[in-house]
Amino acid sequence: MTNLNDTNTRMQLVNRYLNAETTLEEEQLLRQYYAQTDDVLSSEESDVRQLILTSASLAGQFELSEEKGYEFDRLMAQRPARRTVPYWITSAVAAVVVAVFLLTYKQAGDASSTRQKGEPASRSDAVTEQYINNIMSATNYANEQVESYRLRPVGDATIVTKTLADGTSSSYIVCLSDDDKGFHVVPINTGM
Amino acid sequence: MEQQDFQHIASSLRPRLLKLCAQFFDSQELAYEAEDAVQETLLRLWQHKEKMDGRQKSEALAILIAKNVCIDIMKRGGTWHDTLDESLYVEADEHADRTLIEHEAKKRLIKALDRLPATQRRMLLMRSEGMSMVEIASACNATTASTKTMICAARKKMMELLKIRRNKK
Repeated sequence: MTNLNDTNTRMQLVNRYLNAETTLEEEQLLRQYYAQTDDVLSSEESDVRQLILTSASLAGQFELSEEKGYEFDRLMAQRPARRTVPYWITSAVAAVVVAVFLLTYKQAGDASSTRQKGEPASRSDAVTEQYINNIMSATNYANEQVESYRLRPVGDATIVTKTLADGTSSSYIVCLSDDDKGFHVVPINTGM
Repeated sequence: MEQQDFQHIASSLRPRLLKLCAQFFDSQELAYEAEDAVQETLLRLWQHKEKMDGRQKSEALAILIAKNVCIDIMKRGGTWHDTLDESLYVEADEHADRTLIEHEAKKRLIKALDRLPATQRRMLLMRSEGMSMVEIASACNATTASTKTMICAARKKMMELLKIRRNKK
């Protein structure tokens, strides 16, 4: 049992406290001692007492409030859909992505020219700029600030990776629905 | 709740909490570090650890706490503490002197804590709350060794600052 009434013992514990070597139980002992003692302390030890007793009260009692949660949601809903990237940059990025995608599909089309006669044409043969824009739109959500898209054709599907302004990215598998009138969108990795 | 449960929850929630706080401070044009808000959130989550029952509940609780923290920071004008009531009303009773002394001590400590780097300050307060070194390391995305080093540095710096303030009086 540590006797904190003994000055030497106490100061050894204080030095260990300042070196962050004390356990939680030892720190609790010091707190209890300084809260109860009427002893006259040295100036340095008075500072230790102040540090130990007052910092515990600063972490504070916290009341969880549903109202503050609603206030947060209300403030976030009010914010305008602000563009941090000028339109012309976004358009230029989109144009580059479209060009790269078309080139990639063209190369894939060229490579598949060896397919057997009578084989059905690949859906990739029907790729158009509108199709690419539709793919990107299929993975868009309201109020998102998208920095860039990366599209990788995989068979008849496309893996779309979008990078947001806050540095996170999300990936989706996108493919035409069976009736060719819409898209199936499957999230792979979101908010990473 | 086991220590490793809190560690695991803190690590897995961190990215989402960081994103939430960063978006809020950006939308309110507050120059406040989202990382500091996340650390405060995890400290408060730890204070409410008895409510952490299962992953889904913990996540919902953490999100609500983060929203509370963001609103509190906004109302504090982007600082880490409430403004102390300078016009403390002291009643003429036997507790008046003690209350005033405690208030003055709190003021001195806050001024000294203001001088610490944000992470050191947060770690110091977390330790005062009774969090273990491992739990603090998880909450602050640090190693246990660096947490101990930072708390040691923070305590010694506080002693230095308190001594300077004492000598100025």
